[in-house]
Amino acid sequence: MRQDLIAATIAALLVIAGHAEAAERTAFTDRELQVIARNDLLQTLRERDPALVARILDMMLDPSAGPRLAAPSTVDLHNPDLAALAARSAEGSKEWLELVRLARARKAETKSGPDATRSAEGSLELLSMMRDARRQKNGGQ
Amino acid sequence: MNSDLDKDFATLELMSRARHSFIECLVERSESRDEADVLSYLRLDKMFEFAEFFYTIRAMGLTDPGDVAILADLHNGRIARLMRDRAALDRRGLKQERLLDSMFTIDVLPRLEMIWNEQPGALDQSNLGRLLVTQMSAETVRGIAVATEKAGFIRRRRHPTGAIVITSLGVMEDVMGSCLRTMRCTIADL
Repeated sequence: MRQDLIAATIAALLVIAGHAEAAERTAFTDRELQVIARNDLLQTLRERDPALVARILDMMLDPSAGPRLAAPSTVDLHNPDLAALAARSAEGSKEWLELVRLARARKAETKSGPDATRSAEGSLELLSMMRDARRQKNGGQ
Repeated sequence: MNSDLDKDFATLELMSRARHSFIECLVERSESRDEADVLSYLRLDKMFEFAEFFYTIRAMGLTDPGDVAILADLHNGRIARLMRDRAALDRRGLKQERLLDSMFTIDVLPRLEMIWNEQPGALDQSNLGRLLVTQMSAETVRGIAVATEKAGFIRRRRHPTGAIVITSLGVMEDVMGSCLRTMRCTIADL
């Protein structure tokens, strides 16, 4: 659901920027693949909607796009190119950075591996700690 | 239903149903219907652990002034043990530096106790993050706290010290308690 919201918002911003009518394509140049690799959100979107990623890249790499209005107030190291794109539109900047932060947090939440183990063990530890606390409170009874 | 396997399967079903029921009850009780900023958080696995924390405080009767000092001491002990267990740190994806920051030291303890003693059960957000350090990031704690405030499950307020103080309003505990009781009683009848 969260990714759908992000994709919809990106599509809306593309309309505002006038790139919504670009022809759909799903193949990427080496340069574009490098940009995708640098930006977490583009990596995530590429699997679900490669055509949308292509439109974002067209907008990003469009030499006729206007100069940057302002540098982003925070540098997003996980999506540096998207942050730069956002800076071209003063209105979009804040929303973009917030979306990117949100997407990153969401990605982290769904990650498996250590996170799952951490949860299960952490839970058991917490329960044990609470029992011990009650025991201490009641004087070891 | 006779065979052990049938009962085992029924138990598994009950556990899954309880988990699902927990989420659906929280969503139902939410005062906000905002899917993106509230309901999606209530459906997170971490939401269960967030609610579990407050439920266990209530269930163990740790609701008196002074109880937080016991919790802080036990927390420091488990963190110290964990920091000496390299294998556990790796397995659970925990960093020593972050665990060290989560301990209640002489500069952090006074505020923890003051806020709790003013209203037992109240914790400032950063200290809640310390207690949940082995289970979720500070960012997740903040995200869930903001969502559950909008859902009407907790209250968040600015303390005169500048800290964001969280007080549970009991909804999460009620829902979890109800789900657990239903599951327990149904399992007992198998």
